[in-house]
Amino acid sequence: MRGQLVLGSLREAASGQTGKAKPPRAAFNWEVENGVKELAPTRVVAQRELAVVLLGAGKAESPGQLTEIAVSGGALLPSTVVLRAGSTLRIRNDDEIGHELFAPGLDGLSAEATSPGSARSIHLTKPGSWPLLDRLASHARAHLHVLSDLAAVAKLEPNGSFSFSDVPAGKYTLKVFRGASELTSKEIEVTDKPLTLDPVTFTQDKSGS
Amino acid sequence: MLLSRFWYIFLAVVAGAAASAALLSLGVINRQAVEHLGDELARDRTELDAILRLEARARLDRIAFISVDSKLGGLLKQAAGIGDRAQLGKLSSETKDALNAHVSRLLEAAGGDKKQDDVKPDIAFAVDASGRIIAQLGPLEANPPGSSLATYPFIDRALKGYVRDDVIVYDRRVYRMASRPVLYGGEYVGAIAHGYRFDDAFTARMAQGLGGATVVFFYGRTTLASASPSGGPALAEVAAVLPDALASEKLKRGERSDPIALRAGGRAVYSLVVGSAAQADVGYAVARPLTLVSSPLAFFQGASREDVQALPLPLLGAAAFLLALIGLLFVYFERDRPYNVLRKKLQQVAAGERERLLVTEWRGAYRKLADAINQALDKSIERAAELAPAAKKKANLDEILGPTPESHVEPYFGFADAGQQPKAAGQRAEAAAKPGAPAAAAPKPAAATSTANGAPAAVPAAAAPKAGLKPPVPAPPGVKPAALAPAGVKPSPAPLPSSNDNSGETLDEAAHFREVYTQYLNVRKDCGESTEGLSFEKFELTLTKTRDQVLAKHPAKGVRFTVYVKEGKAALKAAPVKR
Repeated sequence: MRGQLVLGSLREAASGQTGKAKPPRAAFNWEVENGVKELAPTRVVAQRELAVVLLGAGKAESPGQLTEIAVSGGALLPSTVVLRAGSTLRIRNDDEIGHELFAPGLDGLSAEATSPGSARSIHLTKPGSWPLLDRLASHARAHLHVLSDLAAVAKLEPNGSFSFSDVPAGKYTLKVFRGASELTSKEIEVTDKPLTLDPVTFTQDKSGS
Repeated sequence: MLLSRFWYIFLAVVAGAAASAALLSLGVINRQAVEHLGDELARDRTELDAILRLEARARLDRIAFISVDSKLGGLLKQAAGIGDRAQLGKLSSETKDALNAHVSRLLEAAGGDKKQDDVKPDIAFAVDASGRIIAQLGPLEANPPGSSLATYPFIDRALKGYVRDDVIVYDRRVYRMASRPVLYGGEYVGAIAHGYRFDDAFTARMAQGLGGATVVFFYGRTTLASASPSGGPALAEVAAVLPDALASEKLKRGERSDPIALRAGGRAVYSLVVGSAAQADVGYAVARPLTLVSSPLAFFQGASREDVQALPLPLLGAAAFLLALIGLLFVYFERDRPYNVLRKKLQQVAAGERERLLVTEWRGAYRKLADAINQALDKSIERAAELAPAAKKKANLDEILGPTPESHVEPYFGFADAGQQPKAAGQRAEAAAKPGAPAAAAPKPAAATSTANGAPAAVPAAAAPKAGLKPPVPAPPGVKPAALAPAGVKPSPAPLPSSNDNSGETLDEAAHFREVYTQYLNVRKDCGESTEGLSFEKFELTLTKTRDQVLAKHPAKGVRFTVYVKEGKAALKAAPVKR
């Protein structure tokens, strides 16, 4: 039996907060408007920062599945990574400089050098949540969620829309993660027909990495 | 001496109090020095932050013209969305040329070779609207374009229109970045970023701006650059405690660390930089030497010329002079003056002007001293008297000559009563006093003799006395008459002139003096006395003076001298010759 398509969209609520963790000291001396042109809006790039997943007993991500993420522009893309326990994470370095990613508290992901163009992998068996940090690029921060009942991970578009493909009918919990934070959680039921969800609204206030 | 002693005690107390104050002040001064140094380092940290902030602002303004350059803007706009490597490479080359041209303009604007190093960037980026590197200068400029800086905050914010600075770690190097958006056609088409490394020259300028503090920039436990002015703590000292500083909770909270003691005694504070790199433990340390006063001497040595000039030297000098003057006055009144008086009095004693000191002329110790001197004088006189017979002294005729007869002349001629008899008596004189004695028949008196035990015997003063005259006084106890002297004892060779052989005769005074002189020398020798320095001229002079004194008191026609032995010593007796 073929699963159904589940569509949805994310809508960011207005907020003046950046939502990022406060660094030890101010990150700059000067951050002022250029005085020529108005500023571009600061928005969460959903594709880069968010993860929308379905949790439930229905369909499960295949065991041993390989998920690949990239280090690009000095940071992990996406910066929120959700995996099912038992899967493998492959981290590719697309930058021109080396990185040393590590996850404090997670065995097997210590700070080892990943030179430009190369990659490193880690097999994740234990459910949990860990920050991913880079010893060489201090601003590069991501978060890794390893869930035991992960059913599906949505594909995100730059405009915030997402889609799950081939979702078996059943009851699921839709969750939106941004970094370490769970922005929203919603119960959905997938039937034998495609499902379009109401827009999921989130704010940056609840986020953090 | 009382005032002097109290003055010494007072000065000792004052000196002790001053020394105590100096020692106490050491602790106070050192504690204040540590506190002051902590304050100074906190101020240094604030100032260094301000310097870095102003320097970042200056760089942001310096590169402002690049952000509105139409050529660069056009290239960045053109690069957006291009994924073809060849096309991107061509655009990258043109963009790099444009970037280099702007750097050249920056160098020209700065002018002077010295400033070129300050202006020429160690790294520079030109990124398109998505944050991809289109062109770059610096260590990685040979890399192909396309790598992204999009998530770096200084690029991310610049792409949104902010002018921003940051400190970043890029390819294991730390840069101070300044970024601006690039405007073209009324929209943001990318950003430029201009960066410097932390080098020693920059750090030296920072240290100079802080007035000579040691400044060290570090990245984790690695030092990036340092400047240690002369006298300041060395880099090794500051780096040695870096692990401790990095473990500081205050540092992790973004505050400065407490002052940390350095190996050589200085203090250092540590702080993370303002920027993203703070999360990678990029920061700086400011250190200064701690000068503690180790001793009061060092306290004085540490005084500056201004300190010395600030002293009320005339007042202090006057006070010191006054204290010294008071002490000198006490010393003068209580020591010098009584000492001088004592010395003069003693000189008078020595000169015979006074016999003793008058102890009431002094007080205190000098009175005791005067009393002691008096006692010493008495003792000396007594001792001299005791030692006089044994001593071989030069003859003093003034002492030897007996007192000049004042009223009774008879005794000196042997006519006075027994109590007035001179003790001088010779063996022959004694014998002459006895009727029928052999000496009586002798016309000449016997010479003086010595006793067997060395004690001189009395020298007969005259020949046998006339009838009716009192017999001669026998020799004093212990004095053996010459007749009884054992063999070998030489009698006085010259008989003394007798007073009874001058009847009607003219005295040959000169011959008498010579004769007495000879007898006197012989008796002295017999008595074991020295005759050294006893010339006839002196002898004659003394006899003449004595004769004159006798004649001045007695109506005599002359004076006859007799040699005799008195208490074991040769003696002379003067006797007037009746008219």
